[in-house]
Amino acid sequence: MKHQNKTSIIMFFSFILLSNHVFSFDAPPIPETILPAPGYGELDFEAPDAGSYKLPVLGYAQNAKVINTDNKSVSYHEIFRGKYTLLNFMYTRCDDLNGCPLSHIVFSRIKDIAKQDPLLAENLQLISMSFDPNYDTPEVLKKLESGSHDEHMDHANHDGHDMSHGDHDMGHDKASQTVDWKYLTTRSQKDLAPILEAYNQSVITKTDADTKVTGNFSHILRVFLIDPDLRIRNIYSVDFLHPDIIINDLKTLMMEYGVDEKNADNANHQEIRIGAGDAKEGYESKNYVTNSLSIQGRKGKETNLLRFVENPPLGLPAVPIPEDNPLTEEKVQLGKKLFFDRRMSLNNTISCAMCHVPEQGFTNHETLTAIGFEGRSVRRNAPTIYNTAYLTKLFHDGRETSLEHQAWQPMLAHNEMANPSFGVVVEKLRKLADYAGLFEAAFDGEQANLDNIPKAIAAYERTLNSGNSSFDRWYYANEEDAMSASAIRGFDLFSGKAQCISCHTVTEKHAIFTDNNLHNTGIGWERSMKPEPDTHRVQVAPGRYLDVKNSLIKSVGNEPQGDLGLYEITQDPDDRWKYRTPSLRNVALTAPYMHDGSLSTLEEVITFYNQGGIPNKTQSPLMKPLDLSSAEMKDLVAFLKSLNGDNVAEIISDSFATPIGDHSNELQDAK
Amino acid sequence: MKFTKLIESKTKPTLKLLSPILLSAALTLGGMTTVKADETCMSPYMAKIQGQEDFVYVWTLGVEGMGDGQDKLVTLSVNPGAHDYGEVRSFVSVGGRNEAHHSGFTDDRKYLWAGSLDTSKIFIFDVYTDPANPKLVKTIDDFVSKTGGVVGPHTPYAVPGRMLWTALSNNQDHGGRTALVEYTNEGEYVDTYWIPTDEDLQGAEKTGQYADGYGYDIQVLPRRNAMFTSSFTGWTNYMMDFGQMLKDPEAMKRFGNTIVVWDLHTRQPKQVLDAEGAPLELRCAWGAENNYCFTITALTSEIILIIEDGKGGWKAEVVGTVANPSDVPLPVDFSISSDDSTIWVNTFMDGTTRGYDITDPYNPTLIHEQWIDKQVNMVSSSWDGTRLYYSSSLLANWDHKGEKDVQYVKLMHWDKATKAMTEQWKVDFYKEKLGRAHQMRFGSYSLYGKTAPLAPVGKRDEKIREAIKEHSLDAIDESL
Repeated sequence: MKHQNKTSIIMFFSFILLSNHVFSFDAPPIPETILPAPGYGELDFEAPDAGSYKLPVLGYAQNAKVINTDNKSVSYHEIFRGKYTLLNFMYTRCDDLNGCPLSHIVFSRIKDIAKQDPLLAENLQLISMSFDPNYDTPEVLKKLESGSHDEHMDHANHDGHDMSHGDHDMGHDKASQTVDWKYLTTRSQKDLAPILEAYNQSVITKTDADTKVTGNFSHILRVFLIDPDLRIRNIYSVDFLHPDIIINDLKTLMMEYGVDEKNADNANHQEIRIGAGDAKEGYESKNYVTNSLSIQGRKGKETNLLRFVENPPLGLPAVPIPEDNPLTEEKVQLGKKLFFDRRMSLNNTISCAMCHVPEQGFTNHETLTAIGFEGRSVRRNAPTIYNTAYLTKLFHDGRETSLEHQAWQPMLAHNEMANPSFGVVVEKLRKLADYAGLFEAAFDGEQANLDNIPKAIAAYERTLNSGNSSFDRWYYANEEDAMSASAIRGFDLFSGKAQCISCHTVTEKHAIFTDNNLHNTGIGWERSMKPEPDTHRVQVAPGRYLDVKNSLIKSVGNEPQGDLGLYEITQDPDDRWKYRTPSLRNVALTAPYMHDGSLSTLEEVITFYNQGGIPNKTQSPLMKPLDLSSAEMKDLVAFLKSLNGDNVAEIISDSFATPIGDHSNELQDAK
Repeated sequence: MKFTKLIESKTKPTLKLLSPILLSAALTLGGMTTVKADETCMSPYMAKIQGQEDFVYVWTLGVEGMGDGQDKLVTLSVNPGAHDYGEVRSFVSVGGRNEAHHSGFTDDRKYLWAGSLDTSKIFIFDVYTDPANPKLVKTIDDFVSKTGGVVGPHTPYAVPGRMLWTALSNNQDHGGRTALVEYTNEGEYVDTYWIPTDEDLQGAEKTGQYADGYGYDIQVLPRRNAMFTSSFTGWTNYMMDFGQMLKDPEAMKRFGNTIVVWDLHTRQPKQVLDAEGAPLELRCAWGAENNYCFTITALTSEIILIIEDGKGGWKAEVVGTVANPSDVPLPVDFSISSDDSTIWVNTFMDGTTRGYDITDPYNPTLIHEQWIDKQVNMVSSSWDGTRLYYSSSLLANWDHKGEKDVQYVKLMHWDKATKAMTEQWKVDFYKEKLGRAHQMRFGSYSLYGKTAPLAPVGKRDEKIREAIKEHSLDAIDESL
């Protein structure tokens, strides 16, 4: 440091004075040879403009199990995810001028700057992690956390000290927002050791001349900047730990993430487009124009999914929860992480979410039937995950009875995620650093195992309950204007002339729109029994089609696999081509339709039912021509479109906030 | 009679006995004009082979249940003087089936980078220490996480000190929106450049109806500071069964219809041009005044000329069709000749290659049509255009099924004067239990100032070697 200005010295002494007043930091003697670091005063150089540079990824912010000032166990990832985090390691008895007191002062200054900046205030959090668990108990740290900083800063201003920092006013503004500053510690040195190692924090206990422990530590100051995706983006040492630098780094990161004023003002109502980011509506026409979303703009905000279980949205019954898999926040978070993790497949390419894409109704709009490991064909359309908590039969053929049982099957299926065994998945998860401690936290200390992996996934899926649709508000809350006249006529048809309600059930108090039963509509029969045409119409560009010989297509295609529906489970010939009745909630978001995705639009679906499906020997007796007029069919479609839950955008946003798990060398070999 | 031909004619009966050094040495020591031989479709920044290529490196897809079932880099011996001319010299298996696809050299041509569309791994081979036996020296297995979610590295393209990669997909929906990615030659990730979408055109002009964000191939015209990318489809489509996809109307909507023009220096997109029907390979002209490139659409079978529009930008114009588009011939790879006079276009479905005279780039004219085999995908041309190497595989699940699923690399000689194309040899990749032969790149000892190690030789070969050293044709004749 070339010079030290008067302001910084005043600030430092103010800190010492006030530290004694409200903190347990001891006033350190000031060795003449040690000058206060730049962080106490003004920077000797101008910090680079925000956005004029990039912050490389320096590593992964390892997870850790710690306790907060309420003496409650929490994990780093739980705290860090979705926020821009400054993390320092400190202890309250620190007497090193350019150690903990420095980072404390810099945090205070940043906090006050951020108070005046809604974007920073909304997104930033400060975390002080003690490495002195014997002294820094939750009670001790609680005193720091519960507003002492504000007192400290108020005191400073009232005393007339020069606390100014450039253009930033260090004083309070009643309109300003608060910035979270959390203090964390551990229950023991044993719990602390792996955290210090993960963050390369060297902490050595100091002793006096008689080798007696002094209560102080020798340590190297390192402050970490962690992005919302849990990646370390900068590490500040004494020379660079300065508010100007850090604030601009934070702004640079936020620019990278596309956080702007609009997002800050509307943080809880972020615009989420429901539907494929690669929109193809109108592709049938030569007039098609793209309306594509950017990949890097797919950002969201985490939400409390548990409330969709604790208080199911209007129109939904209480959520059945298995006794052996009670829902907890930790479990849901873990299940969500697993759901979006492509490493859950043998070659790290396929997660649950690759076929159940959140913005595509947790289905896949882009193919009729799902595509799995190495491009292998899956026979059936990916069903939605919404409201699966209420299903008593899972898969299109109803072969599973619980979400917990269901979850292993795609992971092990040769044509889905292709893991060769349970053990391979279990061992893989145990070795991934970003899962360290997560299973233990969610399952009472258990490591990942055969039983708890599907439980975690099921826990997440069980929260995706979506209701309070226009229909629900009209039907169950008597909001007359909630549904259009056309949709109301559609419901009359649905429950009357068309008799859809026979299978898509609605009760007085709630509606899950499925009888949880299986039926033969004729779709499956046709797929199995109908001869193929000589040509297929193939679209080659917007509005451009070719009639391609079937022989040519067969020369580059494998024979389709047979599919007999429920018969494959019961072996009863009467069960041939029976498939599960899907719920109709959010049905407008889950195209293409039917178990094989063979109907592209709701209009096609209604037309199919209007003609009585496709007659065959074991067709359901409930299927018969409906004699609906075209106007009536439109009304039915209008009704189906009124079944979109009001929390869909929020659930999608929550999933966008969940990092997609991909292989990373930094995340291997957890200890 | 040209010395090379003399050697060839004289040595044919004894090819198996001769070492490649003979021909390489002959070209160097004979004082003849060296002939550039290289693919004509690679980066202009690339070091060039002087003389006959010694090897063709074939990035090959493993087939479940065949041989070791793994992807591998197969080295074919292609120097007519080699003892194993037209045969497999070596191969390196890389582990797993990753949907091996394209490969490309670094600008110094010491390393071959080979990408994979499924697992997104990039395999880096040292091809200069021993060009006959490439060695896998590094595997980049964190491409997706490093790049922020880019999936399916497709075409590696050398720029000075760096490697640019196009890609095909993303980790959000496995669709076609994707990015360009830059690495250092040492394999360190540098940056990701997303292909413009409507939501984020990044300053580019959407000149037509489409800005789909898709990617495929890449070419540059440094003299115009221009870089071009084309567009194909995402993971879901390129990995799935081809026949199934053709019958899936939703899947068929997910193909690229765009070419993006970039500022080469800043990597900023400038224009998004419409090019309907999946424009795949890009081939830019070599001539100093020929500021244009071609692409060909896979689904609509159209030859598209990308040329300056006279207003400071670029335009894409359909200038021809390949075969009968209504038959879905599926044009795949094509190669441009080094004199910008010819393109060779392969159509996968009918296994045919077609030569078009492009002297007038606005009017490609068919000059030759030849059936190569039951299916054909890639073509790599020597710099002089006389040697055309063909390979068979398109994508693991797109290749023909049953008896039309032939897998090979074959060498065809093209005589421009007589317009005759003749097969020289064929390596059957299924018979050799290797897998599906995809992309081919050339290797040579001469690139690195090396000579082929001597095979065990008899006294007669020693005499030949001495004769070559003495530059004596008579002595060579006598020796033979």
